[in-house]
Amino acid sequence: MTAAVTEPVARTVRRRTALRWAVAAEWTKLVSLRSTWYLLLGALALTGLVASATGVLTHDPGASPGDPAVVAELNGTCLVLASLAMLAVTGEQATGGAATALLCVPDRVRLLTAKALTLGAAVCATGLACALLGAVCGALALARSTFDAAATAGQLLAVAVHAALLGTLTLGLAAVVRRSAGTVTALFGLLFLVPVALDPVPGGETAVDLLPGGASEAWLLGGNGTLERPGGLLALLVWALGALLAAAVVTRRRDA
Amino acid sequence: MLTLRGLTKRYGEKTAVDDLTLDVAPGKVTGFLGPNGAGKSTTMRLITGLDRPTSGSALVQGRPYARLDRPLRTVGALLDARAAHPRRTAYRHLLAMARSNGIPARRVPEVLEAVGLADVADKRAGSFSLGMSQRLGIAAALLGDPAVLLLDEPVNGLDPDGVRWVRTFLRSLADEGRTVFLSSHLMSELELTADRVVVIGRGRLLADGTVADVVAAGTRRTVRVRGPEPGGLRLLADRLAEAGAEVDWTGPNALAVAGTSAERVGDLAHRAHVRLHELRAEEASLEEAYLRLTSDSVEYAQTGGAVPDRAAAGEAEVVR
Ligand SMILES: Nc1ncnc2c1ncn2[C@@H]1O[C@H](COP(=O)(O)OP(=O)(O)OP(=O)(O)O)[C@@H](O)[C@H]1O
Ligand SMILES: [Mg+2]
Repeated sequence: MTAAVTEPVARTVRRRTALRWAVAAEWTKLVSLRSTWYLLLGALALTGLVASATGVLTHDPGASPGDPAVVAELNGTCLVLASLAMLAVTGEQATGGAATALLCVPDRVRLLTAKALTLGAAVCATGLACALLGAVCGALALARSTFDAAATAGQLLAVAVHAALLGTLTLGLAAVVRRSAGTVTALFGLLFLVPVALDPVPGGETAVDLLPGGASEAWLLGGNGTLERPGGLLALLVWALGALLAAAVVTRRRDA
Repeated sequence: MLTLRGLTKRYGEKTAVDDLTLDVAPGKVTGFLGPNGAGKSTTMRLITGLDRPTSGSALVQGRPYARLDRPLRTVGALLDARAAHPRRTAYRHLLAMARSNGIPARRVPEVLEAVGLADVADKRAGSFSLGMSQRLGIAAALLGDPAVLLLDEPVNGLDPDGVRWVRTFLRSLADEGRTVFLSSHLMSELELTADRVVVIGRGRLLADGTVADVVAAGTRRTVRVRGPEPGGLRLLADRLAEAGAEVDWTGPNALAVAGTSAERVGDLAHRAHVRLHELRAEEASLEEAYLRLTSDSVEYAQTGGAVPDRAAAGEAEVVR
């Protein structure tokens, strides 16, 4: 009787430990590449630039210092951070690293989970740092603004969550596509081309609002025609988890 | 211990590994031979779960690789010399691998030291020469102190010193009771290193046994005979042919005799009063056995003079 109970428990413990190790390995790999740090610097620089410009160009006494940070996130920062997530997969695929990763962690779902957790956390933290910087730049650049601590903090957290979810979506796409060029194409298609193509179709507007781009606007700007803020978050979550699920299904079937 | 049962892998039309059934025993160095494209690397990828078999199974210590809790502690695999991200240092590459399996970080300098890369631990893997990459791959395979080692052409690119080091090292690993399975194209090297050899061609098993068995099965011993009198040799050749041996003239004064023993040739020569200057049973080599075994399964063979010479190319131009 005890054996029947302890065996599944032991297996769960083993799985958790294995996942923790896999995350530790992904973290080590992430921080040991110079490109990671270049991308982080790039994300910060871009955010500072866009947020400052936005602040200068905004003449709204009701504007929050968080607004320029949100604008920066929607207009570039999220893509730089997404490419960090992408490279965790495609950088390995382009070298012998992918086989090594699977030799270390042969369970493909575990490997994917570890990557998603590591990159999700890294991108979320970096997104928050970028948002903070964006808000500071915004506050300095805005001629007049209304500062509400809670509202601004909410905006910054929203940016971090958005970065993490878009990064996760990109990671899933990258795991399916495996090449940088293909992943970038797929992501741009999903964010920019599909909406343009869908727009003239009857009912297309609603569909566009549900796409990652539309959902991002709903979540960060407070609603589009179809989704409110929580709906935007939900849609982003569905996209991110959907991409991971697709990646899990595909990588389990496919040869390395 | 490796257990392959009916292991088969098809890539589209191409059958890379064809119904391979094989046990690779612990405590021995097992060499894995076959012509280019025979399916050696594919077999190793199937064992480590990188590729999924079309049918059949490959077990490591009785379990599929993917079910091993800490695979690096059970299996050390060197499948591809360029297994590290080129912009990551050797140390970080191994550290990430160690972390992934809960191996203490202090193992990393140990294995780097063991393969002679301690001085370049902080250099990027992309800056390594082939031999250095190969050493890094061996270091990675040793990281988890595994019971099974799978090495795909480990000495490829190594300097003579490195080759010798790998040889003695693999020997000592096998003597410790580990399973060592390595592919190579260097017959002389394998003859020195391996206890057993497995030969495949076009994905199929051609031979599996001790080196001596495979050599014996794959070669026909020849006896070299040389003498100063062509007439006498001709007489000896006739006698040998009558006795059922196969005789080839390898020179005006030299014979190669198959299907008999040196003793028998000597006796016949004595009886026929033929003077001999040389009578030698030729050492059969693994290389010979290998070439004979795989002669029908070489896929990517070079045809003699495949590169057209200048004159022929010129003619083709004229014709056109
Ligand atoms: N991913 C793949 N897709 C299609 N065919 C493949 C793939 N991998 C291997 N093959 C084919 O399978 C066959 C076996 O290849 P493999 O690499 O296993 O040979 P090998 O014995 O390791 O050869 P070599 O001695 O040259 O290393 C080859 O004909 C190869 O073209
Ligand atoms: Mg090969």
